[in-house]
Amino acid sequence: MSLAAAERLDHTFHALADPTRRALIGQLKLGRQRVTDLADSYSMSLNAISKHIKVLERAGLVERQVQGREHRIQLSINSFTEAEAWLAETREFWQTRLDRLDHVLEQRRLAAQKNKITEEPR
Amino acid sequence: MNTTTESHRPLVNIERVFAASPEEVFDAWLDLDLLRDWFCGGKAHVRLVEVDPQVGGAYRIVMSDGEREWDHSGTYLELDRPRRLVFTWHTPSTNFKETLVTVTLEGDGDGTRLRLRHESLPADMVEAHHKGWAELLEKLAMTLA
Repeated sequence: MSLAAAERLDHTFHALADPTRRALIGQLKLGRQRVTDLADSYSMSLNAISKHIKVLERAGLVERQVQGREHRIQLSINSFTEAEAWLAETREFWQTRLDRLDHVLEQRRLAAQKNKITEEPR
Repeated sequence: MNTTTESHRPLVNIERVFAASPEEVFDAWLDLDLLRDWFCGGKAHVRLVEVDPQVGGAYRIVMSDGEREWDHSGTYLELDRPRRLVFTWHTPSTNFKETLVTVTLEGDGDGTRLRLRHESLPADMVEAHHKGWAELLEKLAMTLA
């Protein structure tokens, strides 16, 4: 993972650490929405909702489209893929090693058994 | 994946049963020769391994496939033979930020059940809230798919 990707991942997890922002994501799953409508849904000021949206934007979780005075927000799927990639990579990393550990322990057990047998008096 | 966790951080949980005693499994994490044998994957081999097996001690494992290298290092926070190892984990892929690995071992019949938990730990993620990250991301992924 590149440095920039790791930083983006940090932004993603930070962005999702807040319940309001998670709720916003939930709402945006339904489709693209106007900032003003999002503010209404959460009885928040336009200023407050804009701050949350900026955090989500920085994390690359949402994209903003400006049409005249209207700002529309929609989900961007790439960041989720990146966060999942970290989880998947880490899981894969340990699975591979634990497979080998299993193998190494098995080899040792077999070697110990063999020694035991050859040490037995005939 | 463990869904009963209360952690809010992105984390990976893995469980595995080994046909060896908890002591043997525990020691495999700190023994240089054994680490050289098992702590690698794919075409990569362990090029360098250094271990200072005490609380506060450091480890470093460098893997290489001849062209590229992967450098892992960290510090042991808990070493409770044969039950528990906790250590920090730095790699280029975590941007050298601290992540945390917890390995717990318990007897399971003739073998040992190992539980490994790897979680990321940037300061801004430590604030409390209740959702399990893995669970959340899985849910989001499912919905977005």
